[in-house]
Amino acid sequence: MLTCKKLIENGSEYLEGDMSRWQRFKYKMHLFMCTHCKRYIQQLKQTIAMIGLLPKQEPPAELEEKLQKEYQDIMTKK
Amino acid sequence: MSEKDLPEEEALIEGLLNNDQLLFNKVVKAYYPSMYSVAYAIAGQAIADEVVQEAWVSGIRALPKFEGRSKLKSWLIRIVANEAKTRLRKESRSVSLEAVNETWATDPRFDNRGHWNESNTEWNSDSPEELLSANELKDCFKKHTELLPDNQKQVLNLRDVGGMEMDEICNIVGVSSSNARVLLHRARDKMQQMVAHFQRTGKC
Repeated sequence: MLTCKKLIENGSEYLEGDMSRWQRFKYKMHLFMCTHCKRYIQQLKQTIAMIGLLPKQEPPAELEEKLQKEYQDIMTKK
Repeated sequence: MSEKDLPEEEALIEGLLNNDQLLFNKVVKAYYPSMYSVAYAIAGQAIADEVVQEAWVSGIRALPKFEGRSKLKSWLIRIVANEAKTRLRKESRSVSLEAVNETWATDPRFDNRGHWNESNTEWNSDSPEELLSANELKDCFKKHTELLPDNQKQVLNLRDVGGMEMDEICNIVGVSSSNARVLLHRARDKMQQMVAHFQRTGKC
């Protein structure tokens, strides 16, 4: 029997599609019957989407300038 | 600047080889979050930007020999990872798998039969954009990502920020695919718990 705890531990395997058909079937049956776990998986998906939406880190201006210079140097010396 | 604004792989490499300055700047910006997070996780914050810089320099020099067997981004990130490992003094930090073995056994959310102890409450919206409209929550994501063990942070950044494939991530981080999945899920689960806590209490 797939417990709630076990189901939660394999949440990403389920979402990434890394499960055998039988495992997936058992997983889905559990989700169908269990509101808590269903909600957890829903919230895990939302969390992943939020991570993707977070503001992206920008390179420091100093690094950008240095790299631009390096690129120019290498390209013109070819 | 995001990767969506970059040209297709072939045009991208072509442009970079033909001294396209504007394109180069775009690529530097678009790949920075992933490159930085790998450098940071392996070599530490103090020299992360230096490592990114050195990796780019080696990358540009080697670009004419790039054969396109992997994506340009994966190739650059592998260079970052190698550069970072070279810079890392071996005695000061060793790559550990403790985060993989971090136990789920004492998870207070579940009783000893593996059932939920407390009911997880519904969140006040179904939309990730709406949920994330609270600036405190954005800061909280940042804070809690920082607190993750290095290899969890690395896998989470590469997968959910950088959108890379799991097998490429395994190569870069140097763990088996099952370990990488465990690391990824531990990190995501912690973020889910953080959001749940924020929803319940309004606090980070």
